[in-house]
Amino acid sequence: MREIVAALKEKFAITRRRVIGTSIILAIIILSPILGRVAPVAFDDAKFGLAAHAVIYVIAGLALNLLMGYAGQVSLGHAAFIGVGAFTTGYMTWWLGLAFIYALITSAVFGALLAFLVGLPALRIRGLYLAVATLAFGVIMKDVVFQLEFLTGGQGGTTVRRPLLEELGLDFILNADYFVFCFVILLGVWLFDWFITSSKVGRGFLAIREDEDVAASFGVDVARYKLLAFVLSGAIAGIAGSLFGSLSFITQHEQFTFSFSLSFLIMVVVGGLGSRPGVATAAAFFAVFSRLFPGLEEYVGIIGAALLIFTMARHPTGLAQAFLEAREAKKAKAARAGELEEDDLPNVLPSLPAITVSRNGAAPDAPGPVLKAEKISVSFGGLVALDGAGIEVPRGKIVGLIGPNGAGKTTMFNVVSGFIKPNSGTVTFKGEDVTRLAPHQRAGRGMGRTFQLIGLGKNLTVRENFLLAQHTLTTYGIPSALLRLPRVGALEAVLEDRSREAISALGFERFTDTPVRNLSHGQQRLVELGCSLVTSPDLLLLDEPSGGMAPAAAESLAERLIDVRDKLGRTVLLIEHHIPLVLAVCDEIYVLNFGQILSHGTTESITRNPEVVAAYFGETVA
Amino acid sequence: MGQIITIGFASGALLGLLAIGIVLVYKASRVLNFAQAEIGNFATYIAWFLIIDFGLPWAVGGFLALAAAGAIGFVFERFIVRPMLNGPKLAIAVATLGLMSLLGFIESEWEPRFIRPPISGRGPEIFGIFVSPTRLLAFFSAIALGAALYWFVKRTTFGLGLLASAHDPVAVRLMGIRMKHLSLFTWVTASLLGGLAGLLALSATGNFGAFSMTFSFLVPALAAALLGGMTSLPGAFAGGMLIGVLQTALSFNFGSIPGVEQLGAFAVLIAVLVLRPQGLFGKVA
Repeated sequence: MREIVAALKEKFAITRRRVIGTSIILAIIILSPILGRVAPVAFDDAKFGLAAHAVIYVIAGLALNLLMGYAGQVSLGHAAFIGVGAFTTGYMTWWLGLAFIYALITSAVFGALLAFLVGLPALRIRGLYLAVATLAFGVIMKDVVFQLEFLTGGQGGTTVRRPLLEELGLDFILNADYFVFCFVILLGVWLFDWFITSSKVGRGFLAIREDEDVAASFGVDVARYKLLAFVLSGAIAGIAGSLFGSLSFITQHEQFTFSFSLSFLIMVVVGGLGSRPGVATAAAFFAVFSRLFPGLEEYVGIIGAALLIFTMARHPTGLAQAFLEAREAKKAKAARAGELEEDDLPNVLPSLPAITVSRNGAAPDAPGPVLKAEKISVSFGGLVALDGAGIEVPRGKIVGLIGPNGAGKTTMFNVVSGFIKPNSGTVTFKGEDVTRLAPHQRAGRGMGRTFQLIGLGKNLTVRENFLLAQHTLTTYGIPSALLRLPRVGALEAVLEDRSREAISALGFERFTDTPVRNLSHGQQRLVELGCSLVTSPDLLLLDEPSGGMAPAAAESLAERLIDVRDKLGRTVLLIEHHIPLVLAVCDEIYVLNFGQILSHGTTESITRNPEVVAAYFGETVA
Repeated sequence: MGQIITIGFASGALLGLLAIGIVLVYKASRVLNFAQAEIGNFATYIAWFLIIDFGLPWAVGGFLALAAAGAIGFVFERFIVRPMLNGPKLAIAVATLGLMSLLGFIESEWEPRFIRPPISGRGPEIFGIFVSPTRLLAFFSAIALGAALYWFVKRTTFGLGLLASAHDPVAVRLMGIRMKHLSLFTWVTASLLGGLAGLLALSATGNFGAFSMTFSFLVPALAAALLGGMTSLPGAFAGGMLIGVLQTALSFNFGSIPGVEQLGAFAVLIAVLVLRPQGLFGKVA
C-alpha cells in the first residue's frame, strides 16, 4: 500500500494542494444528489441524467482506448459489447428480477467472453484483422442477436431496471443517485486502467502498438497480450453497456449501430490514443455535444469523422498527445538554449550498463556452446535464403557473421531469435532445443537482440524503453499486475532503479523522458544496446551495431564490445558490415554466402584465407 | 445449383472488383482501405442526385458519379495519405476509417433512396433463372476491367513497379517510377472500382442508405482479398466469385436466418485467417 501511495505521489506530482483540490471536487460530485434534493429546480434530475450519460461514455471510451490507444488494435464493433451489457442487464433485472449489481458483473463477464471468442482467431495474425472481424461481429450482433425475441424482446427491446440491492434500500430511482453510482464505477475503471499502464502489462501493450517484433524480442507474448487487451476492453465495455441500458430504462437493438461504434473510435483517436484524460474529455464532450450545440446535433458524426482524418494526418498520436508534446518541446527548447552541441554524438562512447541479474530457467553455465544452429535451411517461395548453414557460439566469445548483402545473415539472426521458422535444422540454446519456441520464449531464456532498424519503441521515452526491456525479469504474473498486489509495486521500484542506473551508465540522464524518436540515430543505437544489456542476456545478438554511428564512435564501439565480453562476461553474435570493427572484436568469424557457410575460423585465419580476402575484404586489409 | 452459380457469379464479380481495389492499395502502401466500399455508396448517392434530381441520363449521371469517386480517391491520396506514406501504416488505416465514417455520416443526412437500374428489362434466362441486365452488365464489366487491370499490371513497366513496390521500393525508384505516382494510381483506381461496384450493386438491389455498401460488401470483399492472399489480383477476383457463390447458396438454403450471408463471409474470413493466412492463391510473403 505504501509503495502504491509513493508511486502515485511521484507519478502525478502529488502536492497537498492538489490532494485537497481533488478531494473537494470528489466530495462535491459524490454529495451532489443532496443538491438535487435541496434545490430541485436549479439541479433538476435531467441534468444528472445527462451527467451520468457523459460518465458512461467516458467508461466506454476508456474501454476502447485500452485496446486501441495502448495495444494499437482497432475495433469497429464496440457498440456490440455495450449492447451485450445493456441486454444482459435488461434480461437479468427485468426478466429474472435480479439485483442490478449481479447484472453489472455478468455484463463484464459476457463482454470479456465475447471478446475472447472474436479475438482468438482474429488476433492471431498481425494486421488490422480485428477491425474486420469486429465490423462483422457488430453488424451481426445488431441485425441478428439483438433482435432475437427470447433474449432481447425483439424489435420493442427490453426494460432495464436499476435497483442495486433492494434489501439494502439502495435503489436508483433518481438520476442523481445513479450518476454518483456511475461515477464511482468510473473511478474504479480509471484506477484499474492505471494499474494496467503502470505495470508490465501496459508496457507490453504499448510495445505491441509500436512494433510487434520489437515487443517479442523484449519477451512480450504478443498474441496473448493482444487478446488480453481485447478481453479487458470487452469487459469494461460490457460494464459501460450495463450502465447505459439502465440509464434510459429501456434498451433496443437500434441503439447499437455501426455509427455508435464509429463515434467511440472517433473519441479515442481525437482524444489522443492512449491518453486517459484526453479520451475522457473527448468522450464527455461528445456525450453532451447535442445539448451544448442543439443545432449541430445532426452534424456531430461528420465533424467527428473530419476531425479524425485531420488528427491522423497531422498528429497520428492524437490531439492530446500533440498538446503534451508541444509543451515538452517548449521545455526542451528552453533547456537546450546555449548548448547546441547536445545532440551530437560523443566521440567516445560512454560505458554500457554493467548489470547482472539472476534469471530463472536453464542453468546459465550448462556445458557446451551457448548457441548451436545446425543445418539451417530457409526458403521464401522459390528463393533459398539459407541452405544447410550452421554456426556455433562458444561461451564468453564474440563471434562475427559476415558476408555480402543477401547472403542470409539477417535470416540466420531471425532463425536464431525465432522470428523465422526454418524449413529444416535445429537451434540449440544453452543445451536446450529451442527450434520450436517463439521469439518471446527465447528472450525469456536469455537471448537478447538488436535490429537493423533500431529495436525500440520509438514513441516511448528512454526510461519506458528500459522498463520494457526488463519485461523478462518482471516476474509478477498478469493477475497480480491487474490487481496491483503489493509485490508489483515493489518489483516496479527495482526496475525503475535498474533503469536509472543503466541510463546514467550511458550518460543519457537528460534524455530520460525524451521519446526515442527524437534522439539521433547513433543515440538510438546506444539506447538499444543499453536496453539489450540491461537484462544481462546469456547471448546477445547484435545486428549491425555500428550502423548510423559517427566513425569515431564506431571505433570506440569496439572497446565497448570488448568490455561487454571481458568485463560483463557476455557472449555475442555479431552481424557487421564495418570490417575493421569485426576484425577488432571477434574471436571467431563465419563467412556466409548464398546461404551457405563459405568459411569459418579464428579471426586471424579468416584474414589469411585468400578466397575470403579477395571476395569480401579487398586487397588492402591489414 | 446452376441458379446459385449464376447469381453467385453476378454478385461475386462485384465483390471481386472491390477486392481488387483493396489489393491494389494494399500492394502499393500496405494499408487496408476501409473506405473501399463506402466510396461506392457515396458515388451512388451522387448518381441518384444527378439522374433523379437533375434528370440526366443514366450513362451521364453514372459517369459523373464515377468521376466523383475517382476525385475522392485523388484528394484523399494527395492530401491525407501521401504526407503519411513514410509514417506508421496504422495511422493511414485509421484515416481510411475516418474517410468511411465521413462519407457515411454525410449520407446519413440524406434519406435512404431508391435508384432504378441503368438498363431496364427482364434479361435473358440462364439456368432457369432470369438474370437482370444490370447483373449481366456488372458481371461482364467486372471481368473486362479485371482483365484490363491484370494486363496493365503484368505488361507495363508501371504495373511491374506496382508489383515490386511493396518488396523493393528502391528498385522501383531505379526503374524510374515514383512511389507517389504508384500510390496515387492505386487510390484513384481503387476508388473508381469502388464507385463502379457501388453503382452496379446498389442499382441492382434498388434501395440504399448510409453505409449500405460497407455493411453488405466490405467484409465479404476483404474476405475475397484475403483468399487471394492480399497480393494477387486474379486471386482476389476469384475469391470474390467464390464468396458470391457461397453467399448465394446460403441465402437460398437458409434465407430465413437473418444475416446469414454476412455470417458466411465472416466465417470464410476467420477460416482463412486461421487456416491459411497466405490465402488460397497467395504465396508466403
